[in-house]
Amino acid sequence: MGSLVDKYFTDRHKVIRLIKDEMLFEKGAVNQRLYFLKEGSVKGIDPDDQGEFFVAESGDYIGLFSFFSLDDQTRMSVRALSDCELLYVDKEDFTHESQDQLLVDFMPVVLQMLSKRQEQARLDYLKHQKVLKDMQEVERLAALGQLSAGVAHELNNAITVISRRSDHIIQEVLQHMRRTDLETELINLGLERGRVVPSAEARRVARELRKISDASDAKLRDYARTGKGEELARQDQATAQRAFGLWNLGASMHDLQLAVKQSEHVIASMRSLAVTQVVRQNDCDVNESIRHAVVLLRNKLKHVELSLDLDELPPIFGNTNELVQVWSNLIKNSVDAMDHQRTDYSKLVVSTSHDDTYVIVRIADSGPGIPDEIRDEIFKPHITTKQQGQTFGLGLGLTIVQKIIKRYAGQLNVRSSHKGAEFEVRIPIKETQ
Amino acid sequence: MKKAHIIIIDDQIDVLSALLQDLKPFRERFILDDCESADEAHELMEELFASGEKIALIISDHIMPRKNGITLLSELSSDERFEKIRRILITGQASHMDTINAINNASIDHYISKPWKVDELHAIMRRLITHWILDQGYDHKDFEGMVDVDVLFKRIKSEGGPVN
Repeated sequence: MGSLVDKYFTDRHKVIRLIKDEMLFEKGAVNQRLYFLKEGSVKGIDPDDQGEFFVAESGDYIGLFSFFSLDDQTRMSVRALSDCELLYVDKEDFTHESQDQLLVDFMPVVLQMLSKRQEQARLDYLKHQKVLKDMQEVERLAALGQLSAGVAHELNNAITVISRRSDHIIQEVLQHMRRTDLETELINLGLERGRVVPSAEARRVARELRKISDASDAKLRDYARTGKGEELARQDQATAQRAFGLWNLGASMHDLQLAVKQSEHVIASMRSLAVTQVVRQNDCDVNESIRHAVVLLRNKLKHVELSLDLDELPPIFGNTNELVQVWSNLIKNSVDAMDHQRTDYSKLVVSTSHDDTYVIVRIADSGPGIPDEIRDEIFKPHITTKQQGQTFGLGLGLTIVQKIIKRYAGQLNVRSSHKGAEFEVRIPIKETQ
Repeated sequence: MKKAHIIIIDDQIDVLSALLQDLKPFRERFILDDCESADEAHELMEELFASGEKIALIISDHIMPRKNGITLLSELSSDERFEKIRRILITGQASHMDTINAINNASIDHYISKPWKVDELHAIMRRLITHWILDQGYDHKDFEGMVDVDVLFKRIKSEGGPVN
């Protein structure tokens, strides 16, 4: 490169100095000069669309294409990015023969520049593709939100009917059904606590009850399921049967109510995908929302050792239902992670605390942790179920969590090791907007 | 003759009890055993085998923590003590590749979609029970009300002669 400068750019008078932002030439101008940028840097831009062609540093040549082209027209405007010094030669300085030689000498430079421009174009294309992809993702989320809101809306009416009418049926039955004291006790037990006796325990208790009753094994198991097996086994069969029947009725009502709550919860989750504003209260208690979430997930938490460590917290300006969704989705995520491990050790610790700025909620599991590669992926929605393995469900949980926390101007941090993962949510106590 | 067992497996107790309720008609000739996990079912089956009791049919949920229904039913089909037991899978994922493969590899006799229709469930059970009765060489008259006549007829015709 140095030899080219020494060979051609020898006229001491053919120097141009530019200050920052000054134009060297405009697009479409006639240019019969070949410039060598001795000091400084310039930018080649298309003034029509603000597209940037190149940035040239000292040691680069400017005006190569127009100088060697047939029409002498510049293809872009060139502006100084800093104070510059440029040497130049004029076309008229050359005869035909020396111009040919010039071309031969500059061929490598031209090729190098072409190659550089090509690489730049390739990188721009890749950037463009990424932006397109991000846009598509946003659109997909929006469409998903619309779809979910639509489904939620349709389902909501049906769920409302189921909810109200099952409550109605329960009320009427309790009010009008004639029953003995034992039967009342049992139907209330079923309604309040549901089916709490595990199948293995029912079998075990039934075996014990064989000593005091000659009812069939199936019937003894039924009595055992109520939790009042011994008391029922001591009754005559007709009384015991009827009492069990009423317990079962109460437990079915309990199942109905729980299933309705589940459905409402799913619908609420789907709704948060569409951007809607929820009503917030000034006295929102984060601990209460956590306890609510734990109740909702009672079934899922059955095989998990759960520790609740809830400090006293200041009330925040928030919506309990939204927060319930955040904790539910995080807890579900942790339980699922632990389920896939084949150990008996499933421990979940949910703790709350606060400082001057934030209410802090931590959900830590004893699962396998989250590999670094997928740390960001887990927050993206995935709506297709995997064919291998057991991933299923809408896969929207963590996306919803992120969305809601963002609305609270909160923070979501993930810590992970082979001992487990910990999700930390920080919610500002004072609303910043 | 001592009653044979029908084992029902689902990790969600409300679904399990609903299924149990729907299968009540079969309590007349069978003992219904409910289990909340594949492990619990394995334990129970070992106990029953040890005491010489028979198991006619297993109905298992698909998605369960730790071991899923397909794995369980596949394992049973390759255990010579239990391979004659009829196997039903209850699944919310009928197009799931695992389900399809499991059926094709003959480890499942039938799959049922959730939510199930009681009448269909009963019909399927009767068909499978009938097959089991004939496999065991029992007298189908001892199982009145639970036998599927079409299956009976087809089997007798193809196997020839009276059922012992």
